[in-house]
Amino acid sequence: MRIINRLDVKEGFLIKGIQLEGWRKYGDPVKEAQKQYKSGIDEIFVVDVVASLYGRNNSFDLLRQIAKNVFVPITLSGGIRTLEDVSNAFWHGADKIGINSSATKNSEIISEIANRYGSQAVVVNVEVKKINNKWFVLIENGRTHTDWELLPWIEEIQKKGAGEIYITSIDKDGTLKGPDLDLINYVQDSIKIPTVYGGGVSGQEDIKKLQDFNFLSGVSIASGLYKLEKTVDFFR
Amino acid sequence: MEPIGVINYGYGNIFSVINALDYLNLEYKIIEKPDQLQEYQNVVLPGVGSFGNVMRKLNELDFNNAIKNYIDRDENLLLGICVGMQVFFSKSEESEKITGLNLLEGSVKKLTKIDKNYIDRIPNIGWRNNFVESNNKFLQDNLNNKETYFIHSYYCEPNEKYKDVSYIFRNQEKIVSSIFDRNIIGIQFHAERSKSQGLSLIKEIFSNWRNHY
Repeated sequence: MRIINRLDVKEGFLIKGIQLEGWRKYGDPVKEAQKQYKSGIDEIFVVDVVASLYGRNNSFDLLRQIAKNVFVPITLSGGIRTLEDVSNAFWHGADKIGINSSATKNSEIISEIANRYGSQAVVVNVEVKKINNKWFVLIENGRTHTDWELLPWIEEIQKKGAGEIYITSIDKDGTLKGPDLDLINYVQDSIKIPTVYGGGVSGQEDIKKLQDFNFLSGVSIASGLYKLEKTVDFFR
Repeated sequence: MEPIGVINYGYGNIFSVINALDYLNLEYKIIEKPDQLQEYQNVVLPGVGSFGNVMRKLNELDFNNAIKNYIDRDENLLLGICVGMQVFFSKSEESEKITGLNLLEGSVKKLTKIDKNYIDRIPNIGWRNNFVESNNKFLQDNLNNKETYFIHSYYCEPNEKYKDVSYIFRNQEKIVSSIFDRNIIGIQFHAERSKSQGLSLIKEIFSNWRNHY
Protein backbone atom coordinates (compact mmCIF):
# COMPACT_ATOMS: atom_id res chain seq x y z
CA MET A 1 0.00 0.00 0.00
CA ARG A 2 1.40 3.38 -1.02
CA ILE A 3 1.85 5.92 1.74
CA ILE A 4 0.98 9.39 0.54
CA ASN A 5 1.82 12.59 2.35
CA ARG A 6 -1.05 15.04 2.13
CA LEU A 7 0.09 18.64 2.49
CA ASP A 8 -2.70 21.13 3.12
CA VAL A 9 -1.42 24.55 2.21
CA LYS A 10 -2.75 28.05 2.59
CA GLU A 11 -0.86 31.14 1.47
CA GLY A 12 2.46 29.33 1.52
CA PHE A 13 2.03 27.69 4.91
CA LEU A 14 1.52 24.09 5.79
CA ILE A 15 -1.68 23.93 7.80
CA LYS A 16 -3.90 21.33 9.35
CA GLY A 17 -7.26 21.36 11.05
CA ILE A 18 -9.55 18.84 12.61
CA GLN A 19 -12.49 17.70 10.51
CA LEU A 20 -11.33 20.27 7.96
CA GLU A 21 -11.84 23.11 10.43
CA GLY A 22 -9.78 25.16 12.90
CA TRP A 23 -6.63 25.23 10.83
CA ARG A 24 -3.30 25.77 12.51
CA LYS A 25 0.02 26.47 10.86
CA TYR A 26 2.66 23.74 10.82
CA GLY A 27 5.56 25.43 9.09
CA ASP A 28 6.95 25.21 5.61
CA PRO A 29 5.41 22.74 3.12
CA VAL A 30 8.59 22.76 1.01
CA LYS A 31 10.71 21.59 3.95
CA GLU A 32 8.11 19.06 5.02
CA ALA A 33 7.90 17.54 1.53
CA GLN A 34 11.68 17.34 1.39
CA LYS A 35 11.84 15.65 4.78
CA GLN A 36 9.20 13.09 3.80
CA TYR A 37 10.83 12.43 0.43
CA LYS A 38 14.17 11.78 2.11
CA SER A 39 12.56 9.33 4.49
CA GLY A 40 10.98 7.37 1.64
CA ILE A 41 7.44 8.66 1.12
CA ASP A 42 5.75 7.18 -1.99
CA GLU A 43 3.82 10.19 -3.16
CA ILE A 44 2.84 13.77 -2.29
CA PHE A 45 -0.67 15.20 -2.46
CA VAL A 46 -0.81 19.00 -2.20
CA VAL A 47 -4.14 20.62 -1.42
CA ASP A 48 -4.56 24.36 -1.69
CA VAL A 49 -7.36 24.60 0.83
CA VAL A 50 -8.68 28.02 -0.08
CA ALA A 51 -8.09 28.08 -3.84
CA SER A 52 -11.53 26.96 -4.91
CA LEU A 53 -13.27 28.97 -2.22
CA TYR A 54 -11.76 32.21 -3.46
CA GLY A 55 -11.91 31.18 -7.10
CA ARG A 56 -8.20 31.54 -7.72
CA ASN A 57 -5.12 29.48 -7.95
CA ASN A 58 -1.93 30.89 -6.56
CA SER A 59 -0.35 27.69 -5.42
CA PHE A 60 1.64 27.10 -8.62
CA ASP A 61 4.83 28.76 -7.40
CA LEU A 62 4.68 26.83 -4.16
CA LEU A 63 4.10 23.64 -6.14
CA ARG A 64 7.24 24.38 -8.15
CA GLN A 65 9.24 24.82 -4.94
CA ILE A 66 7.94 21.55 -3.54
CA ALA A 67 8.54 19.65 -6.79
CA LYS A 68 12.07 20.91 -7.24
CA ASN A 69 13.75 18.38 -4.97
CA VAL A 70 11.14 15.68 -4.68
CA PHE A 71 11.30 12.72 -7.06
CA VAL A 72 8.07 10.95 -6.35
CA PRO A 73 4.72 11.71 -7.99
CA ILE A 74 2.96 14.88 -6.95
CA THR A 75 -0.73 15.67 -7.23
CA LEU A 76 -2.09 19.20 -6.97
CA SER A 77 -5.66 19.64 -5.81
CA GLY A 78 -7.58 22.85 -5.15
CA GLY A 79 -8.90 25.45 -7.54
CA ILE A 80 -8.43 23.51 -10.79
CA ARG A 81 -11.22 24.60 -13.10
CA THR A 82 -9.97 24.64 -16.68
CA LEU A 83 -7.61 22.77 -18.99
CA GLU A 84 -5.35 25.78 -18.74
CA ASP A 85 -5.15 25.32 -14.96
CA VAL A 86 -4.25 21.68 -15.59
CA SER A 87 -1.53 22.58 -18.06
CA ASN A 88 -0.18 25.16 -15.62
CA ALA A 89 -0.16 22.64 -12.79
CA PHE A 90 1.84 20.17 -14.90
CA TRP A 91 4.24 22.87 -15.89
CA HIS A 92 4.83 23.72 -12.23
CA GLY A 93 5.55 20.16 -11.23
CA ALA A 94 2.32 18.20 -10.83
CA ASP A 95 2.06 14.70 -12.28
CA LYS A 96 -1.62 14.35 -11.52
CA ILE A 97 -4.50 16.70 -10.92
CA GLY A 98 -6.95 16.45 -8.06
CA ILE A 99 -10.39 17.90 -8.65
CA ASN A 100 -13.38 18.25 -6.41
CA SER A 101 -15.46 21.47 -6.43
CA SER A 102 -15.31 22.13 -10.16
CA ALA A 103 -16.26 18.52 -10.93
CA THR A 104 -19.33 18.59 -8.69
CA LYS A 105 -20.51 21.64 -10.62
CA ASN A 106 -19.75 20.15 -14.02
CA SER A 107 -18.50 16.60 -14.17
CA GLU A 108 -17.56 17.01 -17.86
CA ILE A 109 -14.23 18.50 -16.69
CA ILE A 110 -13.18 14.97 -15.68
CA SER A 111 -13.65 13.73 -19.27
CA GLU A 112 -11.96 16.80 -20.72
CA ILE A 113 -8.81 16.26 -18.67
CA ALA A 114 -8.89 12.50 -19.23
CA ASN A 115 -9.23 12.92 -22.99
CA ARG A 116 -6.22 15.15 -23.21
CA TYR A 117 -3.91 13.73 -20.57
CA GLY A 118 -5.31 10.24 -20.04
CA SER A 119 -7.45 8.98 -17.15
CA GLN A 120 -4.41 8.35 -15.03
CA ALA A 121 -3.86 12.11 -14.72
CA VAL A 122 -7.25 12.74 -13.07
CA VAL A 123 -7.73 12.08 -9.39
CA VAL A 124 -11.12 12.95 -7.98
CA ASN A 125 -10.78 14.24 -4.47
CA VAL A 126 -13.91 13.10 -2.67
CA GLU A 127 -14.61 14.57 0.76
CA VAL A 128 -17.49 12.92 2.53
CA LYS A 129 -19.53 13.40 5.66
CA LYS A 130 -22.33 11.42 7.19
CA ILE A 131 -25.42 13.58 7.63
CA ASN A 132 -28.62 12.03 9.00
CA ASN A 133 -27.27 8.59 8.26
CA LYS A 134 -26.50 9.36 4.61
CA TRP A 135 -23.09 9.99 3.11
CA PHE A 136 -22.83 13.32 1.29
CA VAL A 137 -20.10 14.86 -0.82
CA LEU A 138 -18.77 18.20 0.42
CA ILE A 139 -16.61 20.71 -1.42
CA GLU A 140 -14.33 23.65 -0.66
CA ASN A 141 -12.67 21.59 2.05
CA GLY A 142 -15.81 20.75 3.89
CA ARG A 143 -17.27 24.23 3.88
CA THR A 144 -19.94 23.72 1.30
CA HIS A 145 -22.48 20.96 0.97
CA THR A 146 -23.56 19.52 -2.36
CA ASP A 147 -26.62 17.55 -3.36
CA TRP A 148 -24.47 14.61 -4.39
CA GLU A 149 -24.85 11.49 -2.32
CA LEU A 150 -21.71 9.42 -2.21
CA LEU A 151 -22.60 6.34 -4.25
CA PRO A 152 -24.20 8.15 -7.22
CA TRP A 153 -21.19 10.49 -7.25
CA ILE A 154 -18.74 7.58 -7.26
CA GLU A 155 -20.65 6.12 -10.20
CA GLU A 156 -20.66 9.43 -12.04
CA ILE A 157 -16.95 10.11 -11.73
CA GLN A 158 -16.03 6.61 -12.87
CA LYS A 159 -18.34 6.99 -15.85
CA LYS A 160 -16.61 10.26 -16.75
CA GLY A 161 -13.22 8.60 -16.80
CA ALA A 162 -11.52 9.40 -13.49
CA GLY A 163 -8.32 7.44 -12.99
CA GLU A 164 -8.22 7.40 -9.23
CA ILE A 165 -10.36 8.28 -6.21
CA TYR A 166 -8.92 10.01 -3.18
CA ILE A 167 -11.53 9.69 -0.50
CA THR A 168 -11.42 11.61 2.78
CA SER A 169 -13.65 11.05 5.76
CA ILE A 170 -14.32 14.52 7.11
CA ASP A 171 -15.44 13.11 10.45
CA LYS A 172 -12.06 11.44 10.91
CA ASP A 173 -9.86 14.10 9.29
CA GLY A 174 -7.19 15.40 11.64
CA THR A 175 -8.50 13.40 14.60
CA LEU A 176 -5.75 10.73 14.61
CA LYS A 177 -8.48 8.39 15.86
CA GLY A 178 -8.22 5.66 13.25
CA PRO A 179 -9.71 5.21 9.78
CA ASP A 180 -13.40 5.39 9.01
CA LEU A 181 -14.12 1.69 8.52
CA ASP A 182 -17.81 2.40 8.29
CA LEU A 183 -17.21 4.58 5.21
CA ILE A 184 -14.74 2.16 3.64
CA ASN A 185 -17.15 -0.74 4.01
CA TYR A 186 -19.91 1.36 2.54
CA VAL A 187 -18.04 2.28 -0.66
CA GLN A 188 -15.89 -0.76 -1.31
CA ASP A 189 -18.22 -2.54 -3.71
CA SER A 190 -18.95 0.58 -5.76
CA ILE A 191 -15.40 1.57 -6.62
CA LYS A 192 -13.68 -0.11 -9.56
CA ILE A 193 -10.65 2.16 -9.93
CA PRO A 194 -7.60 2.60 -7.69
CA THR A 195 -8.49 4.30 -4.42
CA VAL A 196 -6.62 6.16 -1.72
CA TYR A 197 -8.16 6.61 1.72
CA GLY A 198 -7.44 9.48 4.11
CA GLY A 199 -8.70 10.48 7.54
CA GLY A 200 -7.68 9.58 11.09
CA VAL A 201 -4.62 7.46 10.27
CA SER A 202 -2.07 7.70 13.08
CA GLY A 203 0.09 4.57 13.07
CA GLN A 204 0.91 1.07 11.83
CA GLU A 205 -2.19 -0.41 13.45
CA ASP A 206 -4.38 1.81 11.28
CA ILE A 207 -2.50 0.83 8.14
CA LYS A 208 -2.98 -2.84 9.02
CA LYS A 209 -6.72 -2.27 9.26
CA LEU A 210 -6.74 -0.64 5.83
CA GLN A 211 -4.72 -3.46 4.27
CA ASP A 212 -7.66 -5.75 4.90
CA PHE A 213 -9.49 -3.89 2.16
CA ASN A 214 -7.79 -4.99 -1.01
CA PHE A 215 -9.44 -2.31 -3.15
CA LEU A 216 -7.35 0.35 -1.42
CA SER A 217 -4.08 1.09 -3.17
CA GLY A 218 -2.89 3.89 -0.95
CA VAL A 219 -3.30 5.67 2.35
CA SER A 220 -3.11 9.41 2.82
CA ILE A 221 -1.47 10.76 5.95
CA ALA A 222 -1.29 14.40 7.02
CA SER A 223 -1.63 14.99 10.78
CA GLY A 224 -0.08 11.60 11.44
CA LEU A 225 3.08 12.88 9.80
CA TYR A 226 3.43 16.56 10.49
CA LYS A 227 1.34 17.10 13.58
CA LEU A 228 2.99 14.12 15.26
CA GLU A 229 6.35 15.08 13.70
CA LYS A 230 6.85 11.61 12.26
CA THR A 231 8.33 10.34 9.03
CA VAL A 232 7.03 7.55 6.84
CA ASP A 233 9.15 4.85 8.56
CA PHE A 234 6.87 5.16 11.57
CA PHE A 235 4.01 3.81 9.46
CA ARG A 236 5.74 0.98 7.60
CA MET B 1 28.25 14.07 -21.84
CA GLU B 2 26.51 15.57 -24.84
CA PRO B 3 23.52 17.75 -23.87
CA ILE B 4 20.05 16.21 -23.89
CA GLY B 5 17.22 17.55 -26.00
CA VAL B 6 13.78 17.29 -24.39
CA ILE B 7 10.95 17.32 -26.89
CA ASN B 8 8.15 19.66 -25.86
CA TYR B 9 4.99 19.00 -27.85
CA GLY B 10 2.80 21.23 -25.71
CA TYR B 11 0.48 20.54 -22.78
CA GLY B 12 3.14 21.75 -20.32
CA ASN B 13 4.09 18.29 -19.24
CA ILE B 14 7.88 18.25 -19.40
CA PHE B 15 8.64 19.78 -16.02
CA SER B 16 9.26 16.56 -14.11
CA VAL B 17 11.75 15.40 -16.74
CA ILE B 18 13.78 18.60 -16.87
CA ASN B 19 13.62 18.85 -13.10
CA ALA B 20 15.23 15.41 -12.87
CA LEU B 21 17.90 16.41 -15.41
CA ASP B 22 18.59 19.56 -13.38
CA TYR B 23 19.03 17.50 -10.26
CA LEU B 24 21.36 15.09 -12.07
CA ASN B 25 23.39 18.03 -13.33
CA LEU B 26 22.88 16.94 -16.92
CA GLU B 27 22.87 19.68 -19.50
CA TYR B 28 19.66 19.88 -21.54
CA LYS B 29 17.67 22.09 -23.87
CA ILE B 30 14.01 22.08 -24.73
CA ILE B 31 13.27 21.16 -28.34
CA GLU B 32 10.20 22.72 -29.88
CA LYS B 33 11.03 22.47 -33.59
CA PRO B 34 11.87 19.27 -35.46
CA ASP B 35 15.01 20.63 -37.17
CA GLN B 36 16.58 21.15 -33.73
CA LEU B 37 16.81 17.37 -33.37
CA GLN B 38 19.88 17.21 -35.60
CA GLU B 39 21.85 19.21 -33.04
CA TYR B 40 21.56 16.42 -30.45
CA GLN B 41 22.77 12.91 -29.80
CA ASN B 42 20.58 12.43 -26.74
CA VAL B 43 16.84 13.05 -26.84
CA VAL B 44 13.94 12.43 -24.46
CA LEU B 45 10.32 12.14 -25.53
CA PRO B 46 8.35 12.65 -22.30
CA GLY B 47 4.85 11.37 -21.89
CA VAL B 48 1.68 12.59 -20.36
CA GLY B 49 -1.36 12.28 -22.54
CA SER B 50 -3.19 9.81 -24.68
CA PHE B 51 -1.56 7.99 -27.62
CA GLY B 52 -3.79 9.81 -30.11
CA ASN B 53 -3.24 13.26 -28.69
CA VAL B 54 0.52 12.86 -28.47
CA MET B 55 0.70 11.58 -32.07
CA ARG B 56 -1.57 14.35 -33.32
CA LYS B 57 0.70 16.91 -31.67
CA LEU B 58 3.86 15.29 -33.03
CA ASN B 59 2.35 15.20 -36.53
CA GLU B 60 1.10 18.76 -36.28
CA LEU B 61 4.56 19.97 -35.29
CA ASP B 62 6.21 17.82 -38.01
CA PHE B 63 8.20 15.74 -35.55
CA ASN B 64 7.25 12.42 -37.09
CA ASN B 65 9.86 12.21 -39.88
CA ALA B 66 12.42 14.21 -37.95
CA ILE B 67 12.40 11.57 -35.18
CA LYS B 68 12.80 8.81 -37.77
CA ASN B 69 15.75 10.58 -39.36
CA TYR B 70 17.22 11.19 -35.95
CA ILE B 71 17.31 7.52 -34.95
CA ASP B 72 18.65 6.49 -38.36
CA ARG B 73 21.98 7.75 -37.10
CA ASP B 74 23.43 5.05 -34.85
CA GLU B 75 25.20 7.45 -32.52
CA ASN B 76 21.90 9.06 -31.54
CA LEU B 77 19.93 7.87 -28.52
CA LEU B 78 16.17 8.29 -28.07
CA LEU B 79 14.44 7.70 -24.72
CA GLY B 80 10.63 7.57 -24.60
CA ILE B 81 8.85 7.70 -21.26
CA CYS B 82 5.36 6.27 -20.64
CA VAL B 83 3.19 7.30 -23.60
CA GLY B 84 6.46 8.56 -25.12
CA MET B 85 7.44 4.88 -25.29
CA GLN B 86 4.03 3.75 -26.53
CA VAL B 87 4.16 5.98 -29.61
CA PHE B 88 7.31 4.10 -30.73
CA PHE B 89 4.88 1.42 -31.91
CA SER B 90 2.56 1.71 -34.90
CA LYS B 91 -0.80 1.31 -33.21
CA SER B 92 -2.59 1.46 -29.88
CA GLU B 93 -5.98 0.30 -28.69
CA GLU B 94 -6.27 3.72 -27.05
CA SER B 95 -6.53 5.58 -30.36
CA GLU B 96 -7.19 3.11 -33.13
CA LYS B 97 -7.48 5.59 -35.95
CA ILE B 98 -4.08 7.11 -35.53
CA THR B 99 -0.70 5.64 -36.51
CA GLY B 100 2.27 5.80 -34.19
CA LEU B 101 5.91 6.44 -35.07
CA ASN B 102 6.41 2.79 -36.01
CA LEU B 103 9.99 2.60 -34.76
CA LEU B 104 9.48 -0.74 -33.01
CA GLU B 105 7.46 -3.82 -33.96
CA GLY B 106 4.49 -4.69 -31.79
CA SER B 107 1.46 -2.84 -30.53
CA VAL B 108 -0.05 -1.09 -27.52
CA LYS B 109 -2.96 -2.75 -25.75
CA LYS B 110 -5.37 -1.93 -22.96
CA LEU B 111 -4.63 -3.60 -19.64
CA THR B 112 -7.14 -6.34 -18.93
CA LYS B 113 -9.81 -5.38 -16.46
CA ILE B 114 -9.60 -7.19 -13.16
CA ASP B 115 -11.46 -5.79 -10.20
CA LYS B 116 -10.71 -8.19 -7.44
CA ASN B 117 -7.52 -6.64 -6.17
CA TYR B 118 -6.24 -3.09 -6.20
CA ILE B 119 -2.95 -4.11 -7.68
CA ASP B 120 -4.66 -5.36 -10.83
CA ARG B 121 -6.97 -2.42 -11.37
CA ILE B 122 -6.90 0.08 -14.21
CA PRO B 123 -5.04 2.40 -14.31
CA ASN B 124 -2.08 0.45 -13.01
CA ILE B 125 -0.88 2.96 -10.40
CA GLY B 126 1.93 2.57 -7.94
CA TRP B 127 5.37 1.14 -7.27
CA ARG B 128 6.10 -2.15 -9.00
CA ASN B 129 9.17 -4.32 -9.01
CA ASN B 130 10.87 -4.80 -12.38
CA PHE B 131 12.60 -7.97 -13.36
CA VAL B 132 14.91 -8.83 -16.21
CA GLU B 133 15.47 -12.13 -17.99
CA SER B 134 18.03 -10.82 -20.46
CA ASN B 135 21.68 -11.31 -19.56
CA ASN B 136 22.47 -7.79 -20.65
CA LYS B 137 24.55 -6.33 -17.86
CA PHE B 138 23.08 -2.87 -18.20
CA LEU B 139 19.53 -4.14 -17.69
CA GLN B 140 20.61 -6.48 -14.92
CA ASP B 141 22.38 -3.71 -13.04
CA ASN B 142 19.90 -0.90 -13.54
CA LEU B 143 16.50 -2.56 -13.71
CA ASN B 144 16.43 -6.02 -12.25
CA ASN B 145 14.64 -6.02 -8.91
CA LYS B 146 14.21 -2.22 -8.88
CA GLU B 147 10.93 -0.62 -7.87
CA THR B 148 9.67 2.15 -10.09
CA TYR B 149 6.48 4.20 -10.32
CA PHE B 150 3.84 3.19 -12.87
CA ILE B 151 0.72 5.03 -13.88
CA HIS B 152 -0.87 3.76 -17.09
CA SER B 153 -3.91 2.06 -18.58
CA TYR B 154 -2.23 0.76 -21.76
CA TYR B 155 0.90 -1.31 -22.18
CA CYS B 156 3.34 -2.15 -24.95
CA GLU B 157 3.46 -5.64 -26.36
CA PRO B 158 6.65 -5.71 -28.43
CA ASN B 159 7.50 -8.42 -30.92
CA GLU B 160 9.19 -11.35 -29.20
CA LYS B 161 12.39 -10.78 -31.10
CA TYR B 162 13.29 -8.00 -28.66
CA LYS B 163 15.24 -9.61 -25.84
CA ASP B 164 16.48 -6.61 -23.88
CA VAL B 165 13.28 -5.90 -22.01
CA SER B 166 12.17 -5.72 -18.38
CA TYR B 167 8.83 -6.82 -16.97
CA ILE B 168 6.46 -6.33 -14.10
CA PHE B 169 3.87 -8.86 -12.98
CA ARG B 170 0.20 -8.00 -13.13
CA ASN B 171 -2.24 -10.73 -12.19
CA GLN B 172 0.51 -13.27 -12.84
CA GLU B 173 0.96 -11.98 -16.36
CA LYS B 174 4.18 -10.43 -17.56
CA ILE B 175 3.85 -6.84 -18.73
CA VAL B 176 6.77 -5.21 -20.51
CA SER B 177 8.04 -2.28 -18.46
CA SER B 178 10.97 -1.24 -20.64
CA ILE B 179 12.57 -2.04 -23.97
CA PHE B 180 16.11 -1.43 -25.13
CA ASP B 181 16.57 -1.80 -28.88
CA ARG B 182 19.94 -0.44 -29.93
CA ASN B 183 19.52 3.35 -29.89
CA ILE B 184 15.81 3.30 -29.03
CA ILE B 185 14.84 2.98 -25.38
CA GLY B 186 11.33 3.00 -24.02
CA ILE B 187 10.33 2.92 -20.37
CA GLN B 188 6.71 2.53 -19.32
CA PHE B 189 7.28 3.81 -15.79
CA HIS B 190 8.16 7.35 -14.73
CA ALA B 191 11.86 7.13 -13.94
CA GLU B 192 11.87 10.87 -13.29
CA ARG B 193 9.49 10.23 -10.38
CA SER B 194 10.98 6.95 -9.16
CA LYS B 195 13.23 8.09 -6.32
CA SER B 196 16.99 7.57 -6.56
CA GLN B 197 16.78 4.34 -8.55
CA GLY B 198 14.79 6.13 -11.28
CA LEU B 199 17.11 9.12 -11.40
CA SER B 200 20.17 6.93 -11.63
CA LEU B 201 18.60 4.95 -14.49
CA ILE B 202 18.15 8.14 -16.52
CA LYS B 203 21.76 9.09 -15.98
CA GLU B 204 23.00 5.59 -16.81
CA ILE B 205 20.98 5.40 -20.02
CA PHE B 206 22.63 8.47 -21.48
CA SER B 207 26.09 7.90 -20.08
CA ASN B 208 26.40 4.14 -20.36
CA TRP B 209 23.86 2.29 -22.48
CA ARG B 210 25.91 2.83 -25.64
CA ASN B 211 28.57 0.50 -24.22
CA HIS B 212 26.09 -2.33 -23.80
CA TYR B 213 24.61 -3.08 -27.18
